[in-house]
Amino acid sequence: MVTGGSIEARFGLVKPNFIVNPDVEADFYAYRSDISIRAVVESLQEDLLTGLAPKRLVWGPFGGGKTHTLHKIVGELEKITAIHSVYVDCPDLTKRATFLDLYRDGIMRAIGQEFVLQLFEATLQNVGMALRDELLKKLGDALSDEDLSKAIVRLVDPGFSKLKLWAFISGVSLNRTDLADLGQTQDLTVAESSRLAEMLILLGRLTKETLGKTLVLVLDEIDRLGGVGVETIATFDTGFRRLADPNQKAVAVLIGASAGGMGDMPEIFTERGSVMSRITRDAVVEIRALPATDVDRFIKDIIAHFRDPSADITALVTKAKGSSTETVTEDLFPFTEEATVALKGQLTGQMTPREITLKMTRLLGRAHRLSQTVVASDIVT
Amino acid sequence: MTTELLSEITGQKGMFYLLELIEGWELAFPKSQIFTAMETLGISDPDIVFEQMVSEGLIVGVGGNTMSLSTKGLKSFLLLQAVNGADVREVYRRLASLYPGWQQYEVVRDRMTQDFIRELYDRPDFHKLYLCSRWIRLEKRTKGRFAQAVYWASEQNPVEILVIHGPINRESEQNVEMIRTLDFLKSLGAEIVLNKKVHAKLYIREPGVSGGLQTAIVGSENLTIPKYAELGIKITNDSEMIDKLTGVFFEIYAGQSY
Repeated sequence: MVTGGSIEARFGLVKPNFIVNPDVEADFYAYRSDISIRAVVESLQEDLLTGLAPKRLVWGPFGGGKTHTLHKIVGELEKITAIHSVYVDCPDLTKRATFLDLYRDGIMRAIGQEFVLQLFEATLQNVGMALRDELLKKLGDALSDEDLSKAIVRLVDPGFSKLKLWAFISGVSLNRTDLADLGQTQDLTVAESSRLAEMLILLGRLTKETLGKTLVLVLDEIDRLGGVGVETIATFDTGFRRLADPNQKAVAVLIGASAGGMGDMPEIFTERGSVMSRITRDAVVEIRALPATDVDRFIKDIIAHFRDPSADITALVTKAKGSSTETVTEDLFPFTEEATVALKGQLTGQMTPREITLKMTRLLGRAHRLSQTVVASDIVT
Repeated sequence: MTTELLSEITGQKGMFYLLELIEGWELAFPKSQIFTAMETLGISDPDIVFEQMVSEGLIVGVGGNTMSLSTKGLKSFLLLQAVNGADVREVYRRLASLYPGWQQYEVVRDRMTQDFIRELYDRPDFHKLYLCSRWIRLEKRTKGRFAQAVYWASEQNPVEILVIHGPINRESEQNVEMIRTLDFLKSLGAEIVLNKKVHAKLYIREPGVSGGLQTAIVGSENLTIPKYAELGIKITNDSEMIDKLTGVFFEIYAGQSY
């Protein structure tokens, strides 16, 4: 029976669970011997400094740490290189989904209206004012896209609704009146995937030219392409082939995919797929379950990360020692050494960081429920 | 001269039935099949109609002479269905499925828990289930569906089920079905804890190593036979939010073992 007091106070933690938020807590990265963040970041930086737009595929089991690794990599890269990163959590795609759905509901949504319009306005400003025909020509040259220039030139008009331009660029269906206002005959809902990919590449180029930064698209959970039907998967193949093309130097693409093995990946990302031939094996990072030898340190790192610095750990450990015959140390508290051994015993075959942190959380809750001052091995069942 | 609106094109005689036919076909079909259908439906000027459908993006080429009904085409058909008297809620549900971005946060109503279980059955790629409900009482058919979903999921990954339930009076005859349901869940390997203070209704599914669907429903409905007007939010694939809810689940994870 719980007798009061919060989990945090009882066990000297800043929160009542060990669940890591990869976005907010990207600076924290528990040690693992199989991944060198530094090496990955350095190789990305080399590509960026030499004018290339790196493409990487990060894959492994769900909960293995891919998302956290991606956030960590981007965070470290931001410190040393001028990048603008956009994180895309791939939406759940239906059987009929096409690349347009990922473009509209995933990528453009993440990039955001404000950023895109800012790029176009900056481009217009750089081109400078001129008579309409000349302005269109200059804009067309700057964008390498005559059709798009007819839409963007509308930004000159203070009475023009920018939402209309955003709707067009983001892949939403438009009525004929709005299309005419944008100088277009059709919207992007009927465009080929390669055209959509070119839009993203254009945004990358404008990001570089106007902001001096490389656009980095982080496309996570791309395994959700697995639900797409064979008839429309080709649209993704076309789109990704364009983005992954080694000659495409405007947008860096980091792809995260959950898979138990390479064979579980969506076809276009398997070794036989067209995208992989462009990414090459060197650019593939596998995030496996934690090596057994890393689990102890991982557990300690997680505990240290969530330790409340204002808590009197020495007093809590002393109290715990008084109520348990098991080995209690400050670096493992609120777990005894025996409890961590028992915990590892339960993890055989499932030693992903997520599995470990959820198990630790569950045991923490159980100990609190039983009003224990420490998580001992008898709680680990 | 005015240009034709999409509604004028889809409003042509025979167009609704043509779209209805196409919607029922395989995802990809030969171009000739559309012309055969137009002839059967007595659509005049089939060449013009075909061109209109292509230029409006209602059908798209997917390679060779093969066509497919586009998302825009399906959307147009569904809206026409609604206009022609179909159940608007069903039309809305199907429309929502076309826009994955909508579905990340979705208002759910009565039967949200039945739909949660049905989704487990339709997509048994889960690894963990966290069920928090003051009362849990499943009728036979739902138990069968739930069990089958767990069996299928177990073929891919070991399944972990955690259940938080309100207090139970074992002496009360009213609780017989509830106890049977908890025994049923325990037989599937669920760990059940009782919390006398629990009132929150929270249902979370997590995928296995190969990734997949991650959803959470937080709402008013207990995991029982639907009887009342309910309201909730279903969150799909927003890892950050679902992680927060998982954290909340474990905070409530307290009470005596069942």
